[in-house]
Amino acid sequence: MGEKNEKNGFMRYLIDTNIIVDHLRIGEEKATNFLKKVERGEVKASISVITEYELLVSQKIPPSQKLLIQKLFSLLPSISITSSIVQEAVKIAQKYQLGMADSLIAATAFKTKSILVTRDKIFLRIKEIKIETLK
Amino acid sequence: MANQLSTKSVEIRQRIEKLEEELQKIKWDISFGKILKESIVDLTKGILGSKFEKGVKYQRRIRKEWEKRMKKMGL
Repeated sequence: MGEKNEKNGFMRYLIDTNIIVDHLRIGEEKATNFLKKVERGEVKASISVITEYELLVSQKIPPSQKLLIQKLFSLLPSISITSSIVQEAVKIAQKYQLGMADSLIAATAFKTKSILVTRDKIFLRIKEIKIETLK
Repeated sequence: MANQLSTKSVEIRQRIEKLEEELQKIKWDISFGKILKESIVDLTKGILGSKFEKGVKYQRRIRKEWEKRMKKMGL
């Protein structure tokens, strides 16, 4: 995983919900190692407010665990949905027949020039964004 | 002579107690420092357990539910 982009700046990553779940679920090695890199400051990564919502809304996760998850979020700045992200999401949704959350996540990665870290194959066909699957 | 020894032993005992207190303080500082330095990633690793759905499965289910609700709302 190269850490620098073509403009000689550090690469940014947008971590999708599934990666966070894999870490929280069993501490899946590659997901956890990636988050460790973020914690050590070796990698710059953020999450979308959608990911924050998708994890905190779950009724299967008890409040005590949600508190810990919020601590994890403190490592990952969350990116809000702006008007320009919405406009990009509409284009992506229409072009690739994607749902609201998926298109907003893809548009967030595109607008923030971030590599989307996801294992969800639905994003592989989106030409506008770079994907890191942590394989 | 006996009195001198007794005074000396009290002094030694007091010194030992003081050292024990200092040692205890150092132990506390070390363990507190450990807590502060504890990794958030380590703290959250595996908290949901293996019975929880895999990441992609969870993500697809929750996003499908979202779409269904939006369709119901006529969006």
